[in-house]
Amino acid sequence: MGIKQSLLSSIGQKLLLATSGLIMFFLFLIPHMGGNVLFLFGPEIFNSYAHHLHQLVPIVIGIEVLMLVSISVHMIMAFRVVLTNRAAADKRHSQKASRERSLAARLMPVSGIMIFIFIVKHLLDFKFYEKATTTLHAGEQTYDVYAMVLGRFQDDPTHLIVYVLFMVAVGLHLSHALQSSLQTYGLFVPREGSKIKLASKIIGYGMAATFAIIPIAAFIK
Amino acid sequence: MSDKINLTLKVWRQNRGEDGRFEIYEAKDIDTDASFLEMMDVVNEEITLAGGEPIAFEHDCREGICGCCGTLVNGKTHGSHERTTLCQLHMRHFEDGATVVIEPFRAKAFPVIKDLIIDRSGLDAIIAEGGYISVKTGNAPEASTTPIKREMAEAAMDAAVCIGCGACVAACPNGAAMLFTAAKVSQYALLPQGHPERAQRVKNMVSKMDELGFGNCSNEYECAVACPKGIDVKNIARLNREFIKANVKKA
Amino acid sequence: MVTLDAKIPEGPMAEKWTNHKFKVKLVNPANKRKHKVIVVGTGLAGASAAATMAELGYKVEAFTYSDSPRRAHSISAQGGINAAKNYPNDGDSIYRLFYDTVKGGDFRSREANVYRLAEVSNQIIDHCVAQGIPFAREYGGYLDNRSFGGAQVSRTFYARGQTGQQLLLGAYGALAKEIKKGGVEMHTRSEVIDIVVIDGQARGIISRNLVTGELTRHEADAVVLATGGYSNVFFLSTNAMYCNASAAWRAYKKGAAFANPCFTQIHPTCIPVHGEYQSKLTLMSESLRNDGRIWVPKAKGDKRPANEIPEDERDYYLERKYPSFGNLVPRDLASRNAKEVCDEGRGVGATGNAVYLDFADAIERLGKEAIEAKYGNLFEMYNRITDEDPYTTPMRIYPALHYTMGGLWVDYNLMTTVPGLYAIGEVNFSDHGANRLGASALMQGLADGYFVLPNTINDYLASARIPKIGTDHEAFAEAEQAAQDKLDQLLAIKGSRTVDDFHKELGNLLWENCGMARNEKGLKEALEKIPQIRAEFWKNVNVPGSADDLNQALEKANRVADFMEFAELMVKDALNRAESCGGHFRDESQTEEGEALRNDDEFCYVAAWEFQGLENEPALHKEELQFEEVKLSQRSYK
Ligand SMILES: Cc1cc2nc3c(=O)[nH]c(=O)nc-3n(C[C@H](O)[C@H](O)[C@H](O)COP(=O)(O)OP(=O)(O)OC[C@H]3O[C@@H](n4cnc5c(N)ncnc54)[C@H](O)[C@@H]3O)c2cc1C
Ligand code: HEM
Ligand code: HEM
Ligand code: SF4
Ligand code: F3S
Ligand code: FES
Repeated sequence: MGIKQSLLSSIGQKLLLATSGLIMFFLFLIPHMGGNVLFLFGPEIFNSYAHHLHQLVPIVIGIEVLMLVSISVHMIMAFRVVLTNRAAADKRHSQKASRERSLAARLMPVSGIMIFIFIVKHLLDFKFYEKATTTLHAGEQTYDVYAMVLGRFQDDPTHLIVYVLFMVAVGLHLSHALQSSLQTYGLFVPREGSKIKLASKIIGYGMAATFAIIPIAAFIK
Repeated sequence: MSDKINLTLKVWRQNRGEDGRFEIYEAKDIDTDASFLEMMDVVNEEITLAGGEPIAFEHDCREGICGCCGTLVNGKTHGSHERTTLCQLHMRHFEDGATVVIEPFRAKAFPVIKDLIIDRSGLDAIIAEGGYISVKTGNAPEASTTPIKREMAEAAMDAAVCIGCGACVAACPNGAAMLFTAAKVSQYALLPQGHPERAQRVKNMVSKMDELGFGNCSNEYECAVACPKGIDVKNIARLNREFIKANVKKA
Repeated sequence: MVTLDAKIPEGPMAEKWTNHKFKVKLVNPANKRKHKVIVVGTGLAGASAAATMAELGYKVEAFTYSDSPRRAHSISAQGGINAAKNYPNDGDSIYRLFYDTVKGGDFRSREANVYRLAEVSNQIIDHCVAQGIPFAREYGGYLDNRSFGGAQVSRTFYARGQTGQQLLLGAYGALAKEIKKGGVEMHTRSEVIDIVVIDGQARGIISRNLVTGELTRHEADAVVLATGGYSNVFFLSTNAMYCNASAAWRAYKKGAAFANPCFTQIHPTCIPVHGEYQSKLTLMSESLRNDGRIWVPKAKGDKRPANEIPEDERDYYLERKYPSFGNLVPRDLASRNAKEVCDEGRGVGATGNAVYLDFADAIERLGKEAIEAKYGNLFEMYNRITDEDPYTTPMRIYPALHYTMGGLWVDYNLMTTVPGLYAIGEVNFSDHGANRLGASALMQGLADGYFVLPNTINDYLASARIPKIGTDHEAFAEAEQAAQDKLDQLLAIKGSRTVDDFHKELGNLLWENCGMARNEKGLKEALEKIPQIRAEFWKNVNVPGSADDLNQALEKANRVADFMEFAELMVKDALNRAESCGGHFRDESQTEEGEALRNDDEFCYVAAWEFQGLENEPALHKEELQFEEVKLSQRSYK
C-alpha cells in the first residue's frame, strides 16, 4: 500500500478528515472566537483588534489559504466517507435500534453542510461587504468592523435567528467531532462514562454558545 | 418457573434471486425456558407439517461460540440482551402476545443467501490477508522461550474471543467491519509473536476490508453494544494507531 | 476381505515414532505439487492437516459444510489441551501422559499410538504459542497450567474457558494463510456426501454445494476424513447441531472398517433436559466438581425445594460410595451413579432426571467472591439458561452424550482399511480406548493434523501406484447418481413426520437402551426397533423444498438417514462387547460393588466391523491389543 493509497483507505480518509477539521478548529475557530468575544467590550477594543489583525496580512493570508485547503480536503473526504458509508449499509432493515449513536453523530453530514452554507453566507455578510471606516483613539484610520456587526443584527431578528440556528449546527458538529477525531487518531475514547466525550460536548456546545452571544448582544444593544 | 407464551413472528423470507418479503407466523405455546432458536425450531416443525418450507436460519453450536447464529430481533442484533448471542437468548424475556420482527443481519457486504442466512465470507477474506502469524508447522521454538506479560496475554485474549458473527457489521450504521478487523489486529499487535508482520498485516487487512465494500468507521460505537463477546472499541483505536504507525514507519 | 495390519513400528516404545519417521518414504519437493489431497472437515484436525500439507507443497482441497472453517465443532471445547511439558515441575513426563491415557482409556487403545500422542503433545504447545494463541499466563509471564480429571499432575494448557476456540482459530489462521497463498482450495458450504473408491484406492469425493444443491466430483491422490464424532446419533448431546456420522458412514460402506462404535463418552455435568422442544444439551465444565457437592434426597419422590430438605435427609451418594475420590470420580462413574439414583426415583427437578450440584458449603467455606472468581462465567451461563441462581439454589445437572471414542479403524499411519483413505481427529477410533480423559481430544486432533498425518501420508503418496483417472470415470458417475437418487427419494416421500421427529425417536431409544448402562435385553430390543424406525423413516418422513436450493431439512434428512443405519452397528458392537470398560458399561459385567468389570481374556481387542451390505451382518475383525509398557489392571477409585 503506497502512501496515497493509505490516505485514501477508509482509515486514511478519516485521518484526513480529522486532521483538516482540527486544523480549522485550532488555527481558526478558537482564535476567531477569542477575537469575536472582544465585541462585547465595545467598539474601541474590537476595532483595534480587527485593526491589528489586518496588519498581520501575511499571516492572515497564510491562515486563509490553509483554511481554504482544509475546508476543501475536509469536505471532499466528508463526501467520500459519507457516500461509501451509505453504499455499505443496507438500509432495508425494517427497524434498527440505535443504542449508542448520538444525535450529533447521526447529524454530522447535515451539520457539516449547514456549516458550509453558514460560511458562505457569513463571508457575504462580513468579508465581501462594503465596510465603513472609523478612527481609533490612537488616531489611526480603520474599518469599523464593530459597526458592521452591530448593523447586521440590530433590528433584524431574522438574521439573528438564522445565526443562532447555524451555531446549533456548529455545536452539534463539534460535540461529536472533537472526541471522534481523537479515536480516529487512535487515542482511545471509551464508550461508557468517558470524560473525553463529556469534554467534547462541553467545548463544542460551549464554543457555539459563545459565538451565539455576539449576535444576541448586537441585537440587544 | 416456566410458562407458555404466544407470539406473532414477522419473519423475512427470501429465495435466491428474489427481493424478499416479510411473512407472518404464529408461535404458539412456546415454553419460556426455550431458547430463541428452539422457538424457531418449533415454528419450523409446524410450517413443515402444514406443507410449507421452514425458515432457513444459521446455527450450529447453540452455545454462543461458533458465531453461526444471529438475526435482527426487533431491530437489535442477536436480540435484546447485551453480550448474548441469539442462541443464548431465552423466551422468558418476551411478553406473551408480542409481535417479534426477525430479519437477517444486513450490510452490502453481507448479501442474503436465503431467508435469514447471509453470506459472511467477507470476514474470512479479511482474515486471509493477515489474520494469523505465518509460522510453519515445525518452525516453533520452545513455548516458554518468550515470557509474555500476563496483562498483555489477557488483553490479547479479550480481543481474540471474537466469534466472527458479523453483528458488529449489521449494527454499524456504516456497515463497517472495523470491530471485527480491529479485534484480530489487536490480538497480534499485543503479542510479541505478531510483531514481525505487524505493519503489513494492518495495511493488508484494512485494504481488503475497503475492497469488499465494508464502510468507514465514524466512531458510532454501535458495534460494541451489539458485540455478543464484548469486544471493546479500544481495539478500534488500536487498529487506527497500528495503521498510522505502519504508514509512518515506511514513509 | 479386510485385514487389520496396525503397522506398529519396531523398536522400543520411546523410539518407534522417531524410527518410523526415518523409514517413511518421502516425496521429493518438486513432485509434491503434483499430488492432490482432499481434506474433508476443517475442525482442529482437518484445518491443521490441510494447512500443514499445503506448507509441505501438496495441493490441498478442503471441504466443510459450514460457511467458514472457523465454525467447526472444535470451537466449543472449553477446558483445555494436555501436554507433557512438566512446567509445574510436578513429576509429569511423556511417559506419564502416555501411562495416564492408556489407563484412563481402560486398556482398549493401542500403546504405540498413545505413546506417539504423548510425544508430540509438547510440539503442539510450542506451535500454538508461536501462532499467537493467548494461553493463560502467570504473573511472571510464563504459561499457566490447570489440572483435569484422571490425572494427578497439572498438564492442561488453557485459554480461559475457550481453549477450543483459540486453538481452532489458530489452525484456521494457518489454513487462511495457505488459502491466500493458493496451496489450499477451500470449499465452504460444501458437504461431502460420498467417497469414491476405485480399484481399492480412495480416489475422490462427491460434494454437494449447500447453496445451489449442485453435486460436484473431486479427484485426488488421497482423501483425509476429519469429520468429527457421532454423538448426535443420540439426538441430544453436547455436540454442535450439525455434527454427524455421514462421511465416516459412507467410508464404512465403501470398505473402511469401523472400530468400537459402542465406545461413547457421557459427561456427568450438563444442564438437564427441560422440555420436548430441547435441541441440544449444554456442558458445564467438569471443574465445578472441585467445589460442588452432588446429592439427591434420601426419600423417593421428595419434591420439596432443595433448601427445605434438611441435611440428614440428603444423600451425598458419591462421597458415600467413593470416600477417597468423592465428587471427583471419573466421568463414567459420576454419570452412571447419577442415572442410578434417578432410576430409583430420587432424581430432582420437574422431570426427575437431575441431581443437585450444591455450592452452599463451598460458599460458606471460601466466600461468595472466591466462588465467583472461579466459576463466575459458568454460573452466569447456567443462570441464563435456567433462570435460577446457583449461588442460592443448588444447580441441577444430568449426564449427557459428549464424545465418541469409536470411529474409523486406522493403522499407525492413520490410514483406514481403504488405501489412500485417512481418518484423523475424533472421526478415527483414536487413541482414547474406551474412555477419553479431559483435554485430550484437542491434543489428539492437533497431533494428527499438524504432526502425524503430514509425515505418514508421504509414505503412501511416494510408494503407491496412483494412476490419473479423471472425474469422468464411471465410479464418479455412479456415486454422483446414487447421491442424487437418494436425495430425490427423500424429497419424494412427503410423509407426515418431520426429520427431527424421527431423529428424536431414534435418539431416545439409544439413550434408554445403549446409553450409560447397557444390557443384553435392552440392546436386543434396540436391534429390533432400529430397523422399524428406519423403515418408517423411509416411508413417512416429510422433507420439504427441493434439491437444487439451500435446503436445511434435506441436509438433515440425509444425515439422519445415515444415523439410522449407523445406530444399528453401534448397538451390535455394544451387544458383542459383553464386558464393561470405560464408557461402555454392561449391567452383566460388574463387580459386587457395582463397578465396571473388564474382561481382558475375551475382549482385549479392538472390534473393527466390515460392511457386508445392509441386509447382511457386518463382519467382525479383531485387532488384539498388546500391553508391553502399562500393565493391565482394574481401575479403582474407592
Ligand atoms: C462441549 C464440548 C467441550 C469439549 N471440551 C474439550 C476440552 O476441553 N478438551 C478437549 O481436549 N476436548 C474437548 N472436547 C472434544 C473436542 O472438542 C472434539 O473432540 C474435537 O474438537 C474434535 O475435532 P475434529 O477436528 O476431529 O472434529 P470437528 O471439530 O467436529 O470438525 C469436523 C469438521 O468436519 C466437517 N464435516 C463433517 N462432516 C462433513 C461432510 N460430510 N462434509 C464436509 N464437511 C464435513 C465439519 O464442517 C467440521 O469442519 C469437547 C467437546 C464438546 C462437545
Ligand atoms: C469549522 C468547520 C469544521 C470543523 C472544525 C470540522 C471538524 C470536524 C472534525 C474534527 C471531524 C471529526 C473527524 C473524525 O471523526 O475523526 C469532522 C467530521 C465531519 N465533518 Fe466537519 N468540520 C467542519 C466543517 C465541516 C463542513 C463544512 C462539512 C461538510 C460539508 C463537514 C462535514 C463533516 C462530516 C460529514 C464529518 C463526519 C464524517 C464521518 O462520518 O466520520 N465538516 N468535522
Ligand atoms: C456568530 C458569531 C460570529 C461573528 C459575530 C463573526 C464575525 C465575523 C467578522 C466580523 C468577520 C470579518 C472579519 C474581518 O473581515 O475582519 C468574520 C470573518 C469570518 N468568519 Fe466569522 N463570525 C462568527 C462566527 C463564525 C463561525 C462559527 C465561523 C466558522 C464556522 C466563522 C467563519 C468566518 C470566516 C471563514 C471568516 C473570514 C475570515 C477571513 O477573512 O479570513 N465565523 N466573522
Ligand atoms: S467483533 Fe463481536 S460482533 Fe463483531 S464479529 Fe466479532 S464477536 Fe461478532
Ligand atoms: S458502529 Fe461503526 S462507525 Fe465505527 S465504532 Fe463501530 S464500526
Ligand atoms: S449457534 Fe453458535 S453462536 Fe449461536
